[in-house]
Amino acid sequence: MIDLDRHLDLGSRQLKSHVAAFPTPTFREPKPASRLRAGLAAAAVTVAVILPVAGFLGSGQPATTGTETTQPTPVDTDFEVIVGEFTKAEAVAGFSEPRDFVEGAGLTGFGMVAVGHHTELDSRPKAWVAPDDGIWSAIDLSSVDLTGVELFLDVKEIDGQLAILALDILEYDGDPSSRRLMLYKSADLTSWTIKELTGIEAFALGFTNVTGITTGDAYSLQSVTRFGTEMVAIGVPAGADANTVIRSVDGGQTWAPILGPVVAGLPDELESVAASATGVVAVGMERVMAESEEDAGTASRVDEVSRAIIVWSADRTNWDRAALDLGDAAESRMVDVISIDGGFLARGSLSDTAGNTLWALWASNTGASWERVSIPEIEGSYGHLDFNSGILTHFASPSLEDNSDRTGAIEIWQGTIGVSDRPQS
Amino acid sequence: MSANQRPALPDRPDDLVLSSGGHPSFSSFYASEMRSVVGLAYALSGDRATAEDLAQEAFSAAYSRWDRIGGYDNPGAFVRRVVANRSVSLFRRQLRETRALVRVFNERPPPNEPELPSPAAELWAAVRTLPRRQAQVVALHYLDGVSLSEVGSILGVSKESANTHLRRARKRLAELLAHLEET
Repeated sequence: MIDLDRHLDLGSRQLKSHVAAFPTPTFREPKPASRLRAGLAAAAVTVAVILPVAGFLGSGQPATTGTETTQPTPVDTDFEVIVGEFTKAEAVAGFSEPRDFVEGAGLTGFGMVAVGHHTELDSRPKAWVAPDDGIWSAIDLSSVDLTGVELFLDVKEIDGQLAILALDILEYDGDPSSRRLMLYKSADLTSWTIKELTGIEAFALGFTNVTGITTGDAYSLQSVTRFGTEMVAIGVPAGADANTVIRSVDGGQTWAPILGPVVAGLPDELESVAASATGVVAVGMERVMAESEEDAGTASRVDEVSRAIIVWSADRTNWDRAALDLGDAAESRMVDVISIDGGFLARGSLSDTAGNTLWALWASNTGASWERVSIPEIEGSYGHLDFNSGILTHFASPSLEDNSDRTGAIEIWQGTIGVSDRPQS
Repeated sequence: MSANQRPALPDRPDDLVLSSGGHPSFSSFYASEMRSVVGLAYALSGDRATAEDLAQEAFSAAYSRWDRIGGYDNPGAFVRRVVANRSVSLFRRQLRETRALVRVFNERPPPNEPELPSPAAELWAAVRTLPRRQAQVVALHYLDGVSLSEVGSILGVSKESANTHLRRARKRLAELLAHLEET
């Protein structure tokens, strides 16, 4: 039996003593937020977009912001994403356990396959499959040599075989060179071949997520997408210490940041980027100060909250903040964006003041303005969004990030999805 | 001082002086709270450089609004809330970006950085695997010695909610530490 109070007492005293030995940090007066409030171009125009709203949290509210833009305002009408019947997928008992997390999914000859990892203590890779009957089960990996593999990043079908991209850690020394990508392939889900890959080789095979390693001269690339002959991703460019939108024109050897000043501020955290014929959008969140009417005169009155943000660019040079309906949400964040039928579909979450969090979808024709998509209310904002052949799949992992005390397994929700007629140009 | 002006830093940050508004100067506030706030950030992020950056960010946020926040009954609650939220957010983000690159019990500090001794290292690594509210409540309550009412105030939840998070956190921590001892 663990004496938890003793652990907590001793652990707290040890940590305080440890921190007391740190050199005293000197307060650095903050610099003016030069990246914020970037100067408006003389030709800037102001657009206020009013969008219809559906779903949870403030339904019927107009768009929360009018957005100043430095780019010509694209025509953004008659693009409507319609989600049909959306239901919880069946799964065999015990197919997933609490703190499983899906990193990637793909439609393959074996059915839909999802890969990820178990996130608690010893992280270990996991994979799940839903054959034609649509019932999910775990893929038996007990006979596979997964030594050093922390997680599966992505999955595809290559040459009729299931191909899983894995992240292997050689040393826990914080050095990216101690990590490598491995490709696991199988034609029968029983016997597997294993091969080391570079990030560039992974891109060539169509994988989009190579987090945790250095690829070319950038680190931890995710959401890699092609824009003509160029590649665009979220990642940490050489010499930087935070991720941003980066671009490569030489097949991934060198990467340069392309997210410039944005009127009314840049995202504080970026999660995903997508490209279409009309431009590029990147999604994430910003931190804003919120002040409640209650608790006047106390520190509880001022809080720092996250707010979803989408930025878009038609030319990959000039960027603007998109008009985005967040209803009455107290907090929000945006975690995924994908290209769909030439437009975009973004996934995020909305939380009310009580901390109840639900996922939400937004759609956009050009990236400049977004409309909420009506979907079922599903608790749990985290997971992975996958769109394959008209089927939208949401893998919800409620316990990883949310305040929810629910610690259940992954819930998989699927629905048909379509796009209304596009405007004639 | 107008609302748009930043408060000037006194020449001697360790002086406990009152500003013209009648509340403690920012420098005295920083001097009295900094170490504790860095400790909170360190417990929740697991990394010294990150903890110092987080503390700097939190104090910067308070500094830029000191004419108001300095007048509150407990301005320390503000910086603790910012640190608690950002620490967990950062940790989760790192977890997402590199996922389980950090196998919590196998973390290695950078060269020349003294290790947090055992059992503190295992305890706080386990705390960082908890749902974020639970981790925040544990750090504030046990490390900072903050009452559950104050924890609720800092995190913007009720005392009862803070108590519920603490109870669940303790149960899970006991399981995690027992598992660790077995292995």
